[in-house]
Amino acid sequence: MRLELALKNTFANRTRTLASVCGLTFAILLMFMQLGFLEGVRKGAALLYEYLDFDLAIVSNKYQTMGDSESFDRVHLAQAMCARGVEKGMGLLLSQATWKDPDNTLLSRIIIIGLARSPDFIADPDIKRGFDTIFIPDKIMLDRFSQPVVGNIAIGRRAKINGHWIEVASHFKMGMFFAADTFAVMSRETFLHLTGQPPQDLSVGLLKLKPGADRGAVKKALEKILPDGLQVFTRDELIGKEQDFFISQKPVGFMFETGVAVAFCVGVIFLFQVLSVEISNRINEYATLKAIGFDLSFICGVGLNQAILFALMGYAPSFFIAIGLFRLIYAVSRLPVSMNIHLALLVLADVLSMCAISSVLVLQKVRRADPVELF
Amino acid sequence: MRNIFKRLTANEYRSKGDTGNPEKHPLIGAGDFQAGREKTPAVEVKAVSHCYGAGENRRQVLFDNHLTIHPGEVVTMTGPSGSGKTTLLTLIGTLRSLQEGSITVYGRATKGLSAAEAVKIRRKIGFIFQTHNLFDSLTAYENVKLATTLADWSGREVHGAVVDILAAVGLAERCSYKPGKLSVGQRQRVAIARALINRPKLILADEPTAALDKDSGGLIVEILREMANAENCAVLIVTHDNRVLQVADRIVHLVDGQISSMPNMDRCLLQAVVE
Repeated sequence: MRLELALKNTFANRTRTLASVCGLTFAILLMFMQLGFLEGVRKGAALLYEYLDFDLAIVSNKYQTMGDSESFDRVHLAQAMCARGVEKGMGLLLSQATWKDPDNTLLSRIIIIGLARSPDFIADPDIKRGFDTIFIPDKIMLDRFSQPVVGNIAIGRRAKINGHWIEVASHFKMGMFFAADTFAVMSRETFLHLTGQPPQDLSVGLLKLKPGADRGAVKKALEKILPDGLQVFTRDELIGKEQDFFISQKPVGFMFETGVAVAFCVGVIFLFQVLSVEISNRINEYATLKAIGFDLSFICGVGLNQAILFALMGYAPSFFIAIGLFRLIYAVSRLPVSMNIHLALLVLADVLSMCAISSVLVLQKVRRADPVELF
Repeated sequence: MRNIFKRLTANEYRSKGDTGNPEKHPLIGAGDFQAGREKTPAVEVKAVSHCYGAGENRRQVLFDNHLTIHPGEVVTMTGPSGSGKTTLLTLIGTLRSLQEGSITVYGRATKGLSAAEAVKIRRKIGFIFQTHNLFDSLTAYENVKLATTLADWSGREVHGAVVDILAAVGLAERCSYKPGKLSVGQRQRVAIARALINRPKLILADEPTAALDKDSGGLIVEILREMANAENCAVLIVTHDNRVLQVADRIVHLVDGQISSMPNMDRCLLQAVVE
């Protein structure tokens, strides 16, 4: 009867209910979008390492992120490759550079990635497909999702990186617009030519372990062998560190987290107002229920059920609108945002918390409703 | 006069164990109900005084009141506005905490009750308010059915009982109507059906006919009288309505916070007093 009463009360005034649901849909949609962006940044932040197949990575102690990494001597990669359990290794070169399209005067921020000829370390099918094309001097593989400021990115197009002419030979997909305008993958030789870095330098040393090797044990062994200025991460740890940098240390994470908090507060306030009007309009009826012997838990249960009904009615349309908007955003910005079960459940949990908070606040009115005043 | 509860006879009603079985009735001690229902008064008010406010704002509204109402008795309480009628009614109904004196409802003392204990007692009392306070989102049937969740009705019995009681108050054809589609009198009759559905042993009514026309008011008075007769329940009505005064077994008058019983008072004289 509690749910039945909540349902009937909720739909007694359909126009008001529709207006309330629209408002709640908007607040919940805001939560979906902000959390979706946050998730997109998190996913995008470590996309490069998702494209590579490795078990352990060696980086400098000063390594911040792929766009801000301190190099170290490749002799230490060779040292690590001799350790028990390590099967093979590959040096990864990372650097920031400038991109200049001949058709415009703008300079773009770009991250360049230099790879050795070790296709075993490549997991992404696009990079695998175009892998051979980058071993021709001054030919590069360019991010298909480059920002418009980069200009024409067609295959065969020539542009300047750090003042040196290069040619686009193939494409892959990255789209991390918040880290750089575009990404370029090239051979180690082209990378050294464009950056002028000493040939013995490495940004990241990637290692693959022998089948059956204990990742934790090899990591510990390498930490003992390698000098103090280096640190060893598993694949998951490196991806986590990369994500953490953008989410916790860059303003972008804080920005979206603040957005989620604001959307949550808007939802709580809106739901509070909807319930408050609903309860105020029926305060005499609730007082009557108290008078005739209904206990407070029944009456509060009706209010809580109504809160959940309103919230779920707002959740359902916002879920579907969010799916559409995520597709649109991905098509326009290439930020890897999409609906997934984790996001859906996270927002649902937020919505239920929203219900709980607003119900606790609004049901104080019911608690204070004095049946004596009915006489 | 038609019987309010057509579906369940008095014997069936007792066998439900809700109110008819003394051992299961929380307000009636074992043996009181069948062996000597007249022995235990429905309501016993002794030396009840009540104040509002504190300190300089303290105002006494009831002074040393005594009142006994027996099962099956219809008592009306009259008196000028501010004389304390409603305060006394709400004290008997455990809606207010008792300050001084004692009140027992079917032998159960109401002083010092916890909120949960007071709720339990209220479940056995039928409250009729001046305003109906029905849920406008529910039909007449659903409003009455809502109250059945407070008693031990089985699913099959509920439907019949709700339909019967709505028929008894003349609303058989209006079961599926929401309060907005009913007249004021019809709404009040739904509220009365809600108060009576669980067969309370005590009915407390505050101006139940105040907003009603002659016919509706008359029907409600008739229902309350029949309830007292058929179910042996006690009825206390605060009213200024002559129609109610006419069906009362006893009329008590409350002036300046003090009851003056008038068992033998001529009703015409009383009418003059009230008017």
